[in-house]
Amino acid sequence: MSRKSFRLLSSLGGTLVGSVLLACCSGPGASSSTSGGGGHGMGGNAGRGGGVPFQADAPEVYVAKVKNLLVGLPPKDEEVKAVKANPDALKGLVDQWMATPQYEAKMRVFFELAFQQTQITQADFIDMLGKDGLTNGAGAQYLLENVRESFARTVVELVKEGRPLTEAMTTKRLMMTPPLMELYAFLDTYHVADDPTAKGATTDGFAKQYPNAHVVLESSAGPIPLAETVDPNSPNFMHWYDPDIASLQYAKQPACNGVDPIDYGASGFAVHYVLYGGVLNHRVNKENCGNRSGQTMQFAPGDFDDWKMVTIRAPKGGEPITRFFDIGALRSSSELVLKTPRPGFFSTPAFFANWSTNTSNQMRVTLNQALIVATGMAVDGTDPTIPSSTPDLDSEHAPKGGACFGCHQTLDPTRAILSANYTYQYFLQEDPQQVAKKGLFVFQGVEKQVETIDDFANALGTHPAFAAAWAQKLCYYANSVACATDDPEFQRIVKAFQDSGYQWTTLVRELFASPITTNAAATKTTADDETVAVARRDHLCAALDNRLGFVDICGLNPANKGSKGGKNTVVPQIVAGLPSDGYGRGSTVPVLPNLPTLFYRSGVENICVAIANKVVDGAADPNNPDMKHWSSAQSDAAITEMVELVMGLVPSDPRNAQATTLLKAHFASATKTGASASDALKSTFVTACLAPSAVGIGM
Amino acid sequence: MNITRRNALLSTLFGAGCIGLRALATGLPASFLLNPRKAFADPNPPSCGNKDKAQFVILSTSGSGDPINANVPGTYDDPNVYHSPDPAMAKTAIKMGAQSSQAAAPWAALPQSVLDRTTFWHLMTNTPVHPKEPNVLALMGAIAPAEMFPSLLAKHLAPCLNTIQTQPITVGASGPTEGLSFDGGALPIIPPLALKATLANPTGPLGNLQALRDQTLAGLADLYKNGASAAQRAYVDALVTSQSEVRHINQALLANLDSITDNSIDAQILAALTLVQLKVTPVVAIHIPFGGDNHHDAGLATEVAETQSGVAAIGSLMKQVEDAKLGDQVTFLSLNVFGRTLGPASTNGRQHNPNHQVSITIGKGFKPGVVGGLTPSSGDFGALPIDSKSGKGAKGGDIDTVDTLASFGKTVLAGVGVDEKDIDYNIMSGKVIAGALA
Repeated sequence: MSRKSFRLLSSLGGTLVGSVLLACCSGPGASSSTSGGGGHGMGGNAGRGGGVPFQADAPEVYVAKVKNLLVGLPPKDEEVKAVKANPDALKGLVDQWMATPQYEAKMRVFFELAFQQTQITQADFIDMLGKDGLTNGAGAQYLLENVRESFARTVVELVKEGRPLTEAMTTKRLMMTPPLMELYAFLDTYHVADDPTAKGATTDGFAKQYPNAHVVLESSAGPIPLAETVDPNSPNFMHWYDPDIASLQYAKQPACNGVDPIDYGASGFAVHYVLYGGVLNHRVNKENCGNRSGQTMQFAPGDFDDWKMVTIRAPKGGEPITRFFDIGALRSSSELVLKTPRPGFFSTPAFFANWSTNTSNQMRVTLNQALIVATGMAVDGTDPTIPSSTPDLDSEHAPKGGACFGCHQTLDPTRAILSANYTYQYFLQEDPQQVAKKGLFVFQGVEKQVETIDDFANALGTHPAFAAAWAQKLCYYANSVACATDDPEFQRIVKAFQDSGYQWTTLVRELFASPITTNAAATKTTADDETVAVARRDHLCAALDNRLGFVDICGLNPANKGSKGGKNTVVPQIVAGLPSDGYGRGSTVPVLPNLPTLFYRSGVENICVAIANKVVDGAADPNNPDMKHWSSAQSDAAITEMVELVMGLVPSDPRNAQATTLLKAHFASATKTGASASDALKSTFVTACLAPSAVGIGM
Repeated sequence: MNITRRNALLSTLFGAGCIGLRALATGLPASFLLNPRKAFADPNPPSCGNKDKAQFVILSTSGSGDPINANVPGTYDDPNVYHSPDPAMAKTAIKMGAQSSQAAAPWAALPQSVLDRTTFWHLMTNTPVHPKEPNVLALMGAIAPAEMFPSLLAKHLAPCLNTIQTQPITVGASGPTEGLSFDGGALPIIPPLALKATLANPTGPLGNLQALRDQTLAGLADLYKNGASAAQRAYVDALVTSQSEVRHINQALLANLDSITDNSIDAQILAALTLVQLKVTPVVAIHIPFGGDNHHDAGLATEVAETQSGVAAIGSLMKQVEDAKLGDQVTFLSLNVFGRTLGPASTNGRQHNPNHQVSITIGKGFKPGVVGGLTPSSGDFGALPIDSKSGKGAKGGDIDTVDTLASFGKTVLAGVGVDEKDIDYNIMSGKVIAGALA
């Protein structure tokens, strides 16, 4: 094709693309997968390109790839030999790997991303909870991590119970900790109006229920039994013991220093802060003493690790909702009684914090992201489904026949059920006009009346696109690019998933043992373009932790930063800039940087150097009690193990012997330059750590 | 559900970026057109157009659609445009080169030397939707083969500037939506703190052994390539290339990053400038807040505060550029997903405006002043068509409003010395605005 003809045709296409985009004028956004946005995550990999004959990968390559992706560990020689003898053995190995705690941890990360529960900070709760976001105090980071992990842990648990993945759309049983239960219960009693700047925008249910209560932080009288603090009949009701307050310092407001007690009056909001060690702003005489982040939580640190399956249900009759401040009851109960409905992935605080809406957007972004999660498709103006009616259509903005109608005719009726249940700050909807709204789920060939939020959840779980969408999400995880949807092998995997009753383990087994992932045989997907991608952040960090015995060396858990495996290293800082998996608003494809840029190369080198200093002749580290130790006095043995453990080359891999020779030569050359044996072995480790199979997926 | 044959056909032909229609028209299989990796393979990579005009570009972009368009020159002619009554935002005379206008006080406070290189472009991005930020950065599909504008700029500037890598870098994206892509592949977001820790070269004994390690790694690369598939070989080659790029970084200049202690806008500016000085990349993206997504902004307080801090950040950037004696080699530009509504109802916040966004350029390639203008549109305000000769906004301008964004792209390319034939080849609509070029 000549340049001229390409330009002409591109121009034609470009003009029409514009018209399609216009058709979605105020929707939440179309997929950026193929249109002008450059296709986040698609491509950019080191692909084969057209015209190059297919070359199958050897078992030592693909067993290493699959095991690394699933558990972050290197293959064992016997595993590779078993697959060489019988390729079908890979399915059995996948089953074994799926039974490990490392797999569970990897799947938690996958589900956090796939269900769009991460990529949030405390600031993302400002709309819901005011200027400090989620809360402050020593417990804030732990609570945030609980918020992020909860739904992923829920899905892992549902999978363990043998429940179908579709239940993730509808479940009212969630993995929670007592602090997370507190947050859900607090959000059920607190309320911020759609316009948070309006006068009287905030309603504090606690203050209404206990108008005469005084929430008091005090220290001088000594500890107060928790049972008395939460007992409305006790004189100590809402008196919280907090030794921090005696030492609070306000440099420019001496009147605020050491005030004891601090009395907030009747304020549920203050209680929420107090539980996590926060000290809300308070007045002393005429001084406004600002917020302080205290160290003393009312929750115990262990509460944040006390995960259990909790059933959320509506109150029966005049039954009261769960008291958010009753720590003892939260610890012992596996039930939450809430007025706000919380089915499925799309009503969690994490999902809501990700996708804030407002009086202009009116839940359209919330709906679109929910559709993307469940079906892998977005409202983008290309859906041929014509609704039988258009309840809740914004007809002023999107008149029939207008440019905006294409998206809004399905978007608005479908989002109505969200507005009927939740306010734009995601509290319980109590506006009778909104509550009365019924929705019509209209999306990609499906039209269903939705009377309740549960109907909406069911519509997501029963959508015909569900199975292929989740197979595709797993394809991205396995191969860093999409599978070809017209690939018969992909379709076989989707069917196996459906036939199993949407068992996640079936999907994982079928996809990871398939040539679509292993590249052991040509498929339409692999024939189109094989991908070798960098070990992105989550894979790299899991491999480092699991192979070298670190406890979160990368500091990915915000509660661990500076206090666990990566303490006193630059690793967490570098990791903040490493390419990582992500999701973007309106995008149906994940963001997957695949290329080894100079920044990746430089960052990983520095990570390897930092780790070398720990694992070679390093001191014992209480933060990493199971950390690998290599002694430079036994360099040969160390190098042999580095090749297997770090580079993932099993002894029967023809590359193993040559790599060992190269590393031993490196060690010898280093010592010849005058380096100590310790430094020489550290440098050898860094070399192994930078090997293509250590920093790439598919080598 | 009611799927008509017409709808099905329309969906097939016009859906997914009109791939069906393009496949019909070109005779190429849809799979080819859908696979950007192959479409991107360009046998003739860009060469340097004009070395004297080539510029490093520091781009500020926001997917929030900040109200940067609300208080700039060109918005003070129509009395129905609402501006904050805050004295800090008072309408003030401003002179940009030979052109006089009015703007909010913070803009007028920029040094005259900066204003004499500053151009305000009144454009239409044609979207009110946040997720279209990547599309706007790709000039809403006007670039072919599909590419983001920062990456297109980088491809043409890298050969002139001899940068270590061609790909742009973002140090300021507030989330994946503001991330950049290059040849269809997403690029990582590297905040300033991470950049500092990433680029620091190992010191001490392990630093001394680096060259020896590189030799061993070269041996390992050969080992891995032996018998590998094409994709695996390409991956190993890419690793080798990236290692070579790292070794070309001037370690002495890296010390500039030492003072970075957070990811603030000041840190982003320092990181961007250092990357320019290191000649790592031709284009660095940052994010200067100018009021954010201010639907609810009581008394426009956030807009006022961030207009002041945003303009101050631009002033600080340009001072540092000048101090580094890079004034003739660095161009600042801004491009956001959309602007905000401007009408009288904007007293406590502004809504998304698909019809008006203002970009700013500060650089030697552009004639200072105002390009385009403002007109009542769809119940609020939108960009005027532009007269390509004068750069002025005019109802009868030969650049239609919908083409102003692509024309901006073309003109920026021209301003930094890209050949005319390459401009027309890469951007399929719009015109170079001759009146905006220095």
